[in-house]
Amino acid sequence: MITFNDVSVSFEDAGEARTVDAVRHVSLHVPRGSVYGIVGGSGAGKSTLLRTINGLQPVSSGDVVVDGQSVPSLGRGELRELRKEIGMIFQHFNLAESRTVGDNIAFMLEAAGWESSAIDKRIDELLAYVNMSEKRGAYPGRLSGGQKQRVAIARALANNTKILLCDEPTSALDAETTASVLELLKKVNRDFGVTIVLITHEMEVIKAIADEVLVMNHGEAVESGHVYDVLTSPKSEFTQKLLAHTQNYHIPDDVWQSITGEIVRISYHGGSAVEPVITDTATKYGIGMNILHGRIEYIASRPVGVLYVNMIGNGDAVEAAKAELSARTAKIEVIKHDR
Amino acid sequence: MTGNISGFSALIEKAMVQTCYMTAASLVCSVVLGGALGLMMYLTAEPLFYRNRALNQLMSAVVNIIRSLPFLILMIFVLPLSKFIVGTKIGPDAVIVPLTIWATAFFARLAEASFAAVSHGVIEAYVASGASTLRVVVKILLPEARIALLKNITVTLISVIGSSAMAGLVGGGGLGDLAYRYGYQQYRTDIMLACVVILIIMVQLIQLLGDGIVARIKKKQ
Repeated sequence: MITFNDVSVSFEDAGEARTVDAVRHVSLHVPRGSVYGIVGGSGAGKSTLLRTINGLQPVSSGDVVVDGQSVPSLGRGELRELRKEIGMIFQHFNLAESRTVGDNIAFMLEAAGWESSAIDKRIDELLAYVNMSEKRGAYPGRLSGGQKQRVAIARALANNTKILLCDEPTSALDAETTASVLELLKKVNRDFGVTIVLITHEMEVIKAIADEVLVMNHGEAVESGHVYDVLTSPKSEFTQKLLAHTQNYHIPDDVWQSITGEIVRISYHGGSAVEPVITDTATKYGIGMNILHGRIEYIASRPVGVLYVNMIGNGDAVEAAKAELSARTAKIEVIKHDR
Repeated sequence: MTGNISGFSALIEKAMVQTCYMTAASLVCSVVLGGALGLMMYLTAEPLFYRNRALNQLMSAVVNIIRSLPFLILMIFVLPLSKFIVGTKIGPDAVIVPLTIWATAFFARLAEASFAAVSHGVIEAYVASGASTLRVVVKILLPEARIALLKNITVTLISVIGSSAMAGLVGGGGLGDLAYRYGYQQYRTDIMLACVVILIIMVQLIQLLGDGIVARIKKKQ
């Protein structure tokens, strides 16, 4: 649906009279109907890259092909036609404060040349879909952040758009609202087959919604692939660091001090997590395995997890148990040695 | 020492009408011309529309040149042009020309700032819709900027009333003319006071009206 061929974007920083390379040589393919996440820190170039898809940001070199059309080579009129098929939502929602909810959506339909009778019906349909029917006549100033984003999603989908660009759509929302907005985006993807490209600085958002992910740093594509693969076996140091804070847990100091025996950190990927590895091993070697901390989550319906386990028993049995664990899980690390 | 009451009020009335006429005519012209100039300055500064540094700086320089001249000097300098445009070098009609030029530059700056203060994100969202620039400007930019524009029209109107008073020095008529010729040159304190009071009331009313309209729009949205 969208292909980036060696895309670079640089612009003049007027203040400092220098050239900023915002995006450097990115190549990428976004399959039709997928949810593609782009993750990276601030200044990584993800926002710039996203805007090359609808031509809000011209490329300096390379090509962006959307649905068979090369965006950089489109004329002004052709670009406007393409934009009518691409919806966009933003961190700060960007609804016009001077227009009601209904009129914000109506603008899109008028611009795309809909008949006025059809516009009215379409607005009702869209607002019902995002659960905002009763707010049609309200001004955006009266809505909460989550409600504004729902309206913005309705606005973005108004003209039966095929692609939805999401620029940090949940970064201004609390955790609960974030979850409901991400659910809605997933539903949009499922119900209408809309291809979603979403940028975020939060790995949690990627885990919750994306099929594939591109990790960006300093304008470069660090790595990309299926979310599960990138998250469970990150190849680059940058991705590992990005993931570290979501997969490292802190055991309180007094607990750490009072524990005797070894503490190991066990990483699970895929199949092994659902097997009763811990109980199997404990029974087989006659040792105690006390789970201190950890979490198992599901990415693309496959389990991924980290457990911190205190191994209690005689030295040989513990060593044998560790060997078994090492064979049956993704990774085990001893983080506290026996005294 | 005071003249008869009907003569007095006739003088004041005539001057008020002249002031209102000069002010209204130049306000309307300058809001249209200055608004358009401010809009073009905004559009040529904004990459989402028609960014053009040279054109932008040219317009900005013209505005700055006009704004650097005190109105009195601009008026004397421009009056010969009035003869050309409105056919006379004296009276309210002649003063409208320099007044409009001055107020256009004044309002252009304020209008540009009003447009620039509209959320860039909102404009981006609507440019991304594929709508034409004209549609985005008319249906989004202008309504989103309307509160700031109204406030700045109020400021411009009050400044224009103030500047129109200087027309008295070139025989332009109006309250300033009256206060200068009778109040200052003939020591008619009553006329001077009347002019001062009327000007204060006019400005107060305009400010109240401007604030009232803005408050109503804000309350709605």
